[in-house]
Amino acid sequence: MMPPESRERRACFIFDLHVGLPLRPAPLPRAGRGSAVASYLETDLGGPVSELAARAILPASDVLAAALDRGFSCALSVSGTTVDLLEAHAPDALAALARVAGHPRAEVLAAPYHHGIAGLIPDRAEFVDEVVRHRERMREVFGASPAVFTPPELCATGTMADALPETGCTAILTEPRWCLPRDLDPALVYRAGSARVLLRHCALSDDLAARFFSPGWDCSPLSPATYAGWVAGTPGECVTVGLDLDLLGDGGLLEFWEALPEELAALGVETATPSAVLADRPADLLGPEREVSWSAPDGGESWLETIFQHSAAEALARAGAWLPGREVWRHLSSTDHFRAMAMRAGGCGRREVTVDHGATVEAFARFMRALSALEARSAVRTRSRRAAMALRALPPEAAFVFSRGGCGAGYAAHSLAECLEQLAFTDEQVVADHLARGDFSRWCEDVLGDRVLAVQVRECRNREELQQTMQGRADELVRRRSRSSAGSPSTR
Amino acid sequence: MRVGGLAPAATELAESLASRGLEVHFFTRAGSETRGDRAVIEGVTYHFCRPEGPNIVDYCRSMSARMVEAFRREDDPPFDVLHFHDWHAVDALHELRDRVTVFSFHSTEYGRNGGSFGGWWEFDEISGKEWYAGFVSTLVMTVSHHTRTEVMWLYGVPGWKCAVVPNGVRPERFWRPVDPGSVKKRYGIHPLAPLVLFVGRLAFQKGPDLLLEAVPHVLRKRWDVQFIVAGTGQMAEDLRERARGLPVQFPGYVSGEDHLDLLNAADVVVIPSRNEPFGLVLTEAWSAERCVVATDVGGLSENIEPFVDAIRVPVHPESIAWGINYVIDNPQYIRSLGRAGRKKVVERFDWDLVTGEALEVYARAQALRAR
Repeated sequence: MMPPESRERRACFIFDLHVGLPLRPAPLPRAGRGSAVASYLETDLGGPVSELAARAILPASDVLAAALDRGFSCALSVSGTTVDLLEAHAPDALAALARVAGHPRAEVLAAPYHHGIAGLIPDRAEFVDEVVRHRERMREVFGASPAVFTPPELCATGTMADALPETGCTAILTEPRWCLPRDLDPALVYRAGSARVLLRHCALSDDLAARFFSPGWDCSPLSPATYAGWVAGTPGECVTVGLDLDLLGDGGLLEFWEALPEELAALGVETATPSAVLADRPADLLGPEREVSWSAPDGGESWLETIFQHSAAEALARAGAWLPGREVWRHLSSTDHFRAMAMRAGGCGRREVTVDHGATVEAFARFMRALSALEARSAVRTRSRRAAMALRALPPEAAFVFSRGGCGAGYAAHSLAECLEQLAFTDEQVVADHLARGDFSRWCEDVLGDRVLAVQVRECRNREELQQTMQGRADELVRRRSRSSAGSPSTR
Repeated sequence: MRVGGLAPAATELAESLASRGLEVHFFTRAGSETRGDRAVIEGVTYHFCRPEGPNIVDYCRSMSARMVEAFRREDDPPFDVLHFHDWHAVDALHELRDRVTVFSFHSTEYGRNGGSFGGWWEFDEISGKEWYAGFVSTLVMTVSHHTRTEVMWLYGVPGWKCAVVPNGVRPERFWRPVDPGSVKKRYGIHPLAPLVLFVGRLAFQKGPDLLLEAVPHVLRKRWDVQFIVAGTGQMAEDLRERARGLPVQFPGYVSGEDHLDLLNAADVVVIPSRNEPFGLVLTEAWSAERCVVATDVGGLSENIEPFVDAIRVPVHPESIAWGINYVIDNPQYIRSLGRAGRKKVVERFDWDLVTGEALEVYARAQALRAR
């Protein structure tokens, strides 16, 4: 049975705000007994946060609060990290946001606390934990109990949809490109199992997030009336437009928003919160033609597309499997670090950022240095320090760089595990050259610090022997590390 | 891998005509493994001849003579339309010039020479034959407007006599669901490294050297890009030598399966041709939903809508690099270009549509002869 078609046109506007802690170029030495986070990430963000508050958050909150009073509806998604930062450095901005969030016509959405990729890796327990913590924080600061979940980058996966009931959420907001079948209509409500699925309308979001600022666009300058006409002319159940809240601080968009609610109303477009849209569309009324599945059922193959992003995400997942403390790990899992590892990020309502390859290399290097140092420092607290050290992630300067005939083969191993993965496909000739020069054995001894493995590897004559040797040793090291870390006190 | 656009284009046109219930006879030379001198494949009757000759011109003269012999044996009741493909069969066209004849220019000698005149005797001889074919046939077919203009300019063929019928493609033959990562791994490439593919004859006309010169410019922007230059040809050794120290692989000849895998796994397909009458590689890459960066020549420039279904750049290494750089860091854009290309192939280059256009040309030729 099809849900009833609403006669009135509906639009749902969602504002996303996330500020993460940037990575330091290299971790600082641990000082005292304070929080470990400051040694890996910049925590002194008073300047940038106040600047963001003054430029975007305060004026945007005023405009939105005024619009809400006039009958407009919207939703807010604010990460836990952002709330912490605002609380510390710009309490007035947090209060302004609370005014918007507390309005009866506004809704607060759930997200992972640290805007982390736990749901992508996938680490189900961590994912649930992050969302639950975020919902608690939202209740604390905004008095809200969010029911609609927004994944970071709006990239939903099967893991997230499955675990959704445990987090207390009933619906998920995502984008058509992460769903199967591929050609979903973003203006309709779908379902995945018991969870309902709202889709962001990328074209209408990018009109405001990207094209609005481009003087060469043939619709520039975009007037609120024109845009309202586009929304009104989009058939479906609900047009969901999402964009970064901080974009409202950029040239002219604020004035645009001041006028938009009236223009929408003039064309008969009703604005609604996601929950209001979903209220008259319970999951059991959505037929099989509205069932979606995910293009990334178990993580990985999502917006993480570059070698760097994958290498870093896998290293993060491996570290997550054994690290005794989670605090720094959670900050490292933030999508900001991963976005910076691609030359182009954003789009579909997010600020589009393009950087050169050098910047992505630097972002990856900073991430791996932090993760490597974190694992190395945690290794001290395990009984088998050597095993933990040999298995740890490595920064690019210590990685094993495969090379073919004098030039790089295009990849490098940032851990023993990654070396094994890459040995599976690298050229026969490449392996032979490295073996002949004794490169593998030197790396095992000098970098991984595992003399036993180095001696074993020295005896290997071909790829198969090398793989067997490394795999055997890696399994043994993992066993030794897990035996010893199980005995240590967990701070999770 | 099949070399050149002529053989598949002619064969597939014949098959497509036969599937519409026409009786189609195809006179060609025997391959090295062909047995017998007659075969029926996909409804088309093939007649094979075994020509010989000390050079390409005499070889083709001998081929034409034997084709005509075979033709005469089959010509009862007489064939309605005779369709000749390229200069190789011009001597046969001469023998049969009183019939309803259509001559297809898949390319010109000038074009195959990279858009310049050659000073050797074969060049003059072949150009002469091409001029004669344009002069004596009832109608001329070209694969693109570009080739039509070239034929009109080079050989003075009047405009009314030249019809443009593009090469068709069977999109379903070039698309297959592959896991790009596992294909890349087979070539020792990281599964997530962006892969740029060239497929074609390693000959001056196809410009593989231009791609090679573009490589350092691409690497300057992003140094994890990998290149595969697939195909064989005179320039293979030279190119291999020049690619030393660059992330370029030369797998040489790639079989049908490997070709399909590579085509469907590549992130960008580059067509750096100096001259391209039609550019079958383009429709093949589009069939596989690939993002194409191609030079602004001939059929490529005609069929591409820039920035919508492919990237079109001037014939220059730095421009080719610019084209690759323009898309390489934007996977979403790469996918959207591929999808737009696939849509165009289905809407404009499917053999069913193209065969209809060819039939119209045949009907016009018959009407002209009847007058």
